[in-house]
Amino acid sequence: MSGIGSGYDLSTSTFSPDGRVFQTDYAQKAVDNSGTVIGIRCKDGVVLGAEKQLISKMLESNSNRRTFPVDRHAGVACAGLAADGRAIVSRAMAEANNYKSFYGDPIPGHVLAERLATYTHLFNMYWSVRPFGVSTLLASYGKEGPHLYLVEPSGTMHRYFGTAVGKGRQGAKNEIEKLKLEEMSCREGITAVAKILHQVHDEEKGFEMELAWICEDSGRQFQRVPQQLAEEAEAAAKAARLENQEQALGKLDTSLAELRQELAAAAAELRQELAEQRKELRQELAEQSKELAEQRKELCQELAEQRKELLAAVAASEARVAAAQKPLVDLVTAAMSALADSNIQPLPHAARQEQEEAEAEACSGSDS
Amino acid sequence: MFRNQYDTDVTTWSPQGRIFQIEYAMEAVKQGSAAVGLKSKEYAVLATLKRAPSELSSYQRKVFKIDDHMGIAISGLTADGRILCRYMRNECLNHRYVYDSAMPLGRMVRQVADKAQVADKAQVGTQRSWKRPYGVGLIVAGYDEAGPHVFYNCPSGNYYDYKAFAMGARSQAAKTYLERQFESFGGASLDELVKHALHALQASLQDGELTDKNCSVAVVGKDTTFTLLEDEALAPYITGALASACYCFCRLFAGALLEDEALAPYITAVKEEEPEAAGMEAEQPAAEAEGGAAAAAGGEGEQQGGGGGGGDEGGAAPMQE
Amino acid sequence: MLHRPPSHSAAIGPGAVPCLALPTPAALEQRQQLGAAQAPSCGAEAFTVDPAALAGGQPRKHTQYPYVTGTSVLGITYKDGVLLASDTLGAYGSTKRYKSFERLRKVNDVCAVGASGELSDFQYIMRLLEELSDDDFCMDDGHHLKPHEVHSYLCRVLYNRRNKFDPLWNSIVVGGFYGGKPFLGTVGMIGTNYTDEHVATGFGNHLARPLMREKHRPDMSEEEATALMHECLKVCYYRDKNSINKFQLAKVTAEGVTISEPFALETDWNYKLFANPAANAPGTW
Repeated sequence: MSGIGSGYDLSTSTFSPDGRVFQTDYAQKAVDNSGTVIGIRCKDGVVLGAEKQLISKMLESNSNRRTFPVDRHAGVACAGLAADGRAIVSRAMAEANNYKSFYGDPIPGHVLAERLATYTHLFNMYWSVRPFGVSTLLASYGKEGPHLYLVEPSGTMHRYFGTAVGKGRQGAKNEIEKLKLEEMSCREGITAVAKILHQVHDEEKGFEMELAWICEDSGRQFQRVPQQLAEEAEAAAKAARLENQEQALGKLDTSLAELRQELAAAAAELRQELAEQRKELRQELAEQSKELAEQRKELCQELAEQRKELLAAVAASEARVAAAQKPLVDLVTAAMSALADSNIQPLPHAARQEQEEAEAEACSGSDS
Repeated sequence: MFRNQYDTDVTTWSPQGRIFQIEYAMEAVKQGSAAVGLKSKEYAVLATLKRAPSELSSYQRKVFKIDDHMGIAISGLTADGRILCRYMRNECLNHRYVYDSAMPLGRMVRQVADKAQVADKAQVGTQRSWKRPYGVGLIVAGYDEAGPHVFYNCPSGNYYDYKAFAMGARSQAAKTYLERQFESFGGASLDELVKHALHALQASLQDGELTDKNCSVAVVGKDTTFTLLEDEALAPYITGALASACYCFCRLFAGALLEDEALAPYITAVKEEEPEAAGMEAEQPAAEAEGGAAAAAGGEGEQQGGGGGGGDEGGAAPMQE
Repeated sequence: MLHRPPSHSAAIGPGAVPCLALPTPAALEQRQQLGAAQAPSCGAEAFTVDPAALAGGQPRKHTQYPYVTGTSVLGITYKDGVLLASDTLGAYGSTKRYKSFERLRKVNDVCAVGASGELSDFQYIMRLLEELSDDDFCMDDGHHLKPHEVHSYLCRVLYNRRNKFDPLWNSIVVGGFYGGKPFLGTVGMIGTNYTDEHVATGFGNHLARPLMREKHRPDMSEEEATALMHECLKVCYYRDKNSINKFQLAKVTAEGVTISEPFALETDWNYKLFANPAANAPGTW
């Protein structure tokens, strides 16, 4: 909302440049943030249902009412500020009472709805008051049959076959559209409403449900749905929710299985591909190894040849060395034989050592 | 400088769909000293901590009798509370005059709530620019055809039907205590109920101890008209020694509010009549305020400090008790 | 919020109920500020003298006598509840003008009322009671008016109206059964009221109650009580010229309220004393 900070959103008596009254929108916000309230018109009556957040576990059950009779044949359910709701209820009671004392007949639903809308609208007209933070679902069963109306904070009023306000309104409206309201009895209606309320309640936090109806079963009087029926409806709703969850779980399971299958297929494909690749690789490898072997063979051959060559070269050089040595050996042999002839004995090793030690002793003795 | 431009008027919605003035009024309740209310199948009990603005002053009353079958404890702006108290007394009297019977609590509470929103009873006060919401929370306890009730009336014009409830400064600790215990309240006797109330109160007491001076208790229920227990009448409960004499007080003198001097002759009478009970009371008289209470607190040895409570209390405005 | 009168404000009488003309919010508040400084800031509005009554000119005249009237209503308690009985005549002076006017009416499941006197006033009173029980219905909290509360309420209404010199011209019998106990009470046009085990209004007080005093027991069975009622009705019919032989009997027990279809009683006009009624009453004709 573009009104924030512009200064055009501080009073109901101020229009914004683009023709909005922001205070009214803001009041609507209060309704949008509150617990969901649903109303449906079935073939034989009207069912109202409200979702009540539990603010404390020490609260008495069935307190903190959201549905109120305003006459024997009419009642409302309020979404938004509970206190504002009661103000509307008081007014509705006064209107109903006034009509009856003036005309002697119960107030028709459309008249009551119109009067409530007018009253609500008044609070959008003056700077000195604020709009109600309440949307009111009005159920009535008069001569004209069962009717459902919605009066909003702005003072607009419409008749509905089914509608929802509050936090979960969008989801609830979608669900209501799926119902066959023309064929549905109120008994089925309470279960449907309970189911929807349970479905759109998103938080894990607990909540209390309040159901009210006006139909043949209730003697055309607006009243809370008898406890037993309400409990049955709630049980059905919980079961449905569980079923829904199970269904969702089932869906998940199947999708999981599908995924698994897909995965398996993909894996198989991969495996095949891999095998092929491996095969190819192996082939390649084999080729390569074959090539390598050839290369090796070649190299070996080469090596052998080189070796042969080298051996030959070595043999040649050895022969050359031997040839070169021969004069030397001859020389040595000649020298030896000459030495032998001259009888010169080389000094044996031990004798040479003794001689050396004696010399060393002589040196050290002179020192000390 | 940022300033919340949506919070100065009770007729201005914030873009989020809130009305800050109402929320601020609810804060006023947290400034007042703590009060608890709880009920069994037959009785409802109120207990409050009283403050005194100075050593020399009396303690501010926080529990008011509305009718024989109903009373309130207040937290927040005492003066606002007294307006509502007067209104309720008036309504109850009118109801008695016209129907010759006690007004059902649920109806009373709904009327107060409708009134309470901008200082012409709650809801109206939250919708007119020249008014403001009442800055006071009420715990309404009483007994009618449907049994005992404990209602909480909020400045927002909401009211709640509770099994047990606490409000005021640091009441979170008391609430925590009650939340742990409330399931056992259904079958509790009156004495046990009062004890639970005092325990809860003790939990929200930051420093110091419960004495028969700084707290008051009220009981109402089946065959028991709304009765305030204070000072001597309360002492036995505080000391933890639940003298049956005390129980007798609220039974015997049900219907009349007995405090201070009015109560004294009865106490002497009981002392003379029942040597045992009297002995117990005689031993304790003045000293019990400190010693006895300390013993009780020690014995109970529970939750001091406790949970988050409501903000600091500092020198709490003298209006708020 | 719009000032909503406490449900008992009707007790204060006409003019106390706010008109619901479409108000501007400012006007809503103004209403309460119109009162002078002494107006209470909370609670019910103070009783004020109707300004029209103080305006100059002719004195304002209220009802000075009833027009269409019903005669006696009888009531007795018995073992399981209470019985109320009356005829169904609405007499215009001494003309038997409306012969099917039901003067016994159900208030709620535990209470019924019957009225003699001005029947338009009774219709107004029934409207008040309907509003109260509609309020109970709307509160939806299980509380409803007990018989003694209805009785007390009617006492206040009638007494307040007589204090304005504008009485509701009725004597009313309230019968009920609640908490295992029968309740029977009556209230007159100036607020005189009492409860008893048997009551009667108008002529019935003189004609039926002697019989009741003689024959009534609180532990009667339903048959006995019905027989006694029939006898009383018959006596009233014989002696009261403004009555007809078309009666209704209302029964309130733990099971709820039932009001019988109109019925006639067998009568015998051949009593010797009927032949010359003045014979034993010297000075009459």
